[in-house]
Amino acid sequence: MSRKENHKEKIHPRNGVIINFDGNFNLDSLYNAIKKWFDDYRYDYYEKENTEKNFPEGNFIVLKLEGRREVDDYVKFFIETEITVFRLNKIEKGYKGELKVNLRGFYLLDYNENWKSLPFLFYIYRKIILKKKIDEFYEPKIYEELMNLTSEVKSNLGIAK
Amino acid sequence: MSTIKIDVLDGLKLKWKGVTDFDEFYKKLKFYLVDDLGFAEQENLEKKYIQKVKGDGSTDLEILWIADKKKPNEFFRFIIEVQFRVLGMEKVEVQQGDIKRKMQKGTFELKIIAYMESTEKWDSLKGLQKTYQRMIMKKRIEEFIGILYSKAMGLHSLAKSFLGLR
Repeated sequence: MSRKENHKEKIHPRNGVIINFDGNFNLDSLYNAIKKWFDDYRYDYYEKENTEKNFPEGNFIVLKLEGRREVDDYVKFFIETEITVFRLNKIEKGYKGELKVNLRGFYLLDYNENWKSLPFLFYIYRKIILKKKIDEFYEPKIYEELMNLTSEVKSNLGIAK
Repeated sequence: MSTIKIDVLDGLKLKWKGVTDFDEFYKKLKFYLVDDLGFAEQENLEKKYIQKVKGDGSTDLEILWIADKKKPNEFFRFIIEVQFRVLGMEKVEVQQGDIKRKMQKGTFELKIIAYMESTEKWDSLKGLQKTYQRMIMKKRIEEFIGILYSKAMGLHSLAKSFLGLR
């Protein structure tokens, strides 16, 4: 038994939801808001990458924050957030720089691999029995949560939701 | 053949380009893993240490730690892997108040992986014994995952706070 991940189904637009922002913002507050959102929505939080490079024109930062939630015994949601900051400089209140936030959402079926040994039955189960629930519950739910986090990010940056 | 491997952290990466006290950083993380809970022993922790001094006098380092001593019960083992990659490390002197401190400048990268693996004892269990153990072990496995997660995340937080990352 291994808990290696199978293929994840994506629900975001091709390149993810992208927010670009150039100006003054509070990176610490944004980072904490995303962490809190994962916590509020009962996602297990993983910080996949935290990179900071010092340059004379300002710091370069990459933060990859990921949330995973077991919705039930069969479906798991994933939301990935990648924050990239160019030329970050501390100013009196917060920071100044160029910020890019990329949000992506996925769901994974049979994450415990209970159906692994029965691929044909799993196909039937997924395509016939579970199809309605996937279309009408799981996909709209993860999409709604991704949009909710997007709104949270926009609200933190003070841009239109 | 039927070894169980449960990934708890599948590679958290930290990267800092700038100045830090790498010797202190190295020691702090090592002491965190070599604790009284028995996650690692100082003598066996370091599996790889490669140092390359380049023509310009800077140093590249590659270090691998594997903390695999802790067994929460006879059937499982906790494993925390820490991979260091340091590129272009140079010695610098930094003025901190009245004191001049010797520190290191370069690109410091750290990757933390944590997983739980079954022991030989589990692997030797047969049919019904294994099914029985799997059933009664399910809840305990969740507890073990929690213990390993908090230990590995503690290491991650310690490294972040030392490097001044958010």
